[in-house]
Amino acid sequence: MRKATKAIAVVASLMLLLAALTTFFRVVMPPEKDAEKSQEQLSIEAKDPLKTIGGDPEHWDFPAFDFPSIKGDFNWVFTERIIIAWFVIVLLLIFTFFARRGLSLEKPSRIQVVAESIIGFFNDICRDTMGKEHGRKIFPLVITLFLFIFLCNYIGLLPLFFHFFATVVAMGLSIFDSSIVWIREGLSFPNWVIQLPEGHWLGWFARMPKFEEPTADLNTTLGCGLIVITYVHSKAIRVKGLWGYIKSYFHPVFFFFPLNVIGEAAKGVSLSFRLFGNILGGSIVILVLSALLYQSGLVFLNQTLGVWLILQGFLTLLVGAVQAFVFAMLALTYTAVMVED
Amino acid sequence: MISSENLLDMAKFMGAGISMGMAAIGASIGIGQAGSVACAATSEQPRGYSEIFRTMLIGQAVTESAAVFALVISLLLIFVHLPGSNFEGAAARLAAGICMGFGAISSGLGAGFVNAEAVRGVGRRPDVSTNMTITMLLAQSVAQSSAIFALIIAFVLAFRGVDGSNIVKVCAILGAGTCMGFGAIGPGIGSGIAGAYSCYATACRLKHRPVIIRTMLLGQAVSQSTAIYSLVIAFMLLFVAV
Repeated sequence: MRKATKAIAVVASLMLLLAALTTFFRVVMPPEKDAEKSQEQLSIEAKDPLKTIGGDPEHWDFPAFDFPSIKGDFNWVFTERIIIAWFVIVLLLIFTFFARRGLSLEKPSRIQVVAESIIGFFNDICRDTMGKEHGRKIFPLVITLFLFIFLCNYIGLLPLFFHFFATVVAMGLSIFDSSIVWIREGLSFPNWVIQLPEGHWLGWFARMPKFEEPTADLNTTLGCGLIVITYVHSKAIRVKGLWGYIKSYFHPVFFFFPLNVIGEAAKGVSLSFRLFGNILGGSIVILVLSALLYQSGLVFLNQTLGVWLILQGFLTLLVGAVQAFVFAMLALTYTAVMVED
Repeated sequence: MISSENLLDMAKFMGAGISMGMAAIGASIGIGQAGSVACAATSEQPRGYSEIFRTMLIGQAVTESAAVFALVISLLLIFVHLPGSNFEGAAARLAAGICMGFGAISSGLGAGFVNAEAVRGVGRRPDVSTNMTITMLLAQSVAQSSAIFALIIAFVLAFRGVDGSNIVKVCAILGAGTCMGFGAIGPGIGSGIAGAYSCYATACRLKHRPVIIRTMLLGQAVSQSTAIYSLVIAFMLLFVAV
């Protein structure tokens, strides 16, 4: 227990440090080339939100993030979330590759310990819920769902680390590199900015836009939900036989049939919509509250980031983890229910 | 006569007020209930105080999330320029407020109830507080799904961009918002009651935890079906009826 509290304390203090750093210091893009402005004009412009983190969306140039859009009969199909889902899968594969490397009983590597603890946790739950042989069969589905949805929910945090990296490195480099300037005039201390020269390599990190979580899209969550429903029903048919499966719909009383059918449909719908609503709602909450704080004029954009960070901490970290776990557990429990009676 | 912009402003302010006003009822009652049970549990088991306190805090944070969603809908209605104009746009704004406001009441009540009984269970057996917290989070998430459905309908209503003065469509939009809003009241409380006593039961009989959780989820799933009916009718009213 104490170790878990210590871990939470470490993470919380890291986040506060991040909030403080991004509140007080930020990296800005260079001003327009054609204008010759005084330092004062530059500092006024430095407060312009369009020129700072994220920048003007129309002027983003990310050759690596040039997602193709498919125009069909209905609407544009935005493939960004699909590609980010692939990215999540690649990350998971890298994790498992390194976990398997140098597998040893006496001296496990750190990644192996982490992987073993996750696997052991879910294996115990599966075995307790469904018995040894059934639990063994359903275990891969449960843990894959959990890891995939967990990482999908957390992938929105990645640009934040890039920006933090850019801030810290820019602060350090400004000592040696004279083209990186601190703009202080006209701005009180918390609002000093670091300005990068044009085309500096750090600009790529500082300008990174938010990653859209794949699970904030109904397509991903409906896909996961359909997988679970298909698995649950096929397993029920396999275990109970087709006739036993159909009989179970008439189970308590004969005329309960429509209620049971709608109950099964409700399970599938609620599974997908719960995950979708939580993640999408969280991201919209963060967006709206940050924008409102900025527009109220009380805080500058960089200070809004501190609030954004704390909101993210709760909404992304806690809710993302809980919803991923709940999805996996519900998949397990629905199977157990259908198989048992 | 009331101009079109005034009408939109009227509707959005009314919607924002209803949304936050109604949603604040449930979350506060639920959180307070958890606090009171935490005090009682501490008095019975003073050594388990840190586990009790932690479980209470985690549960309260999750209980609060439905009210936060209602707050966001209120702020969205007041400050963000939403598409939609004329009578139907006004109806959409009002309906979004009603939907989220009433939908978030029971989520707070149900999740708070779950939290209270889970804290009581942790007070009974502080050594298994991790298992209890996991069970509590599971039950709370299912109890809150009706509020999530209301959130989705509220987003659809707010961002839809309807244009026109057809009185039938106005009533259909208001009906959709009211349907999902009131339809989410029952399932939240029902699922909360089901989850609450299950959480306490796992503390009493930890060995039978899988069976208890299975029964709880089954009961909660059947209780949620009325929320699904409301969701289906709301979608039909919005997209199919007129």
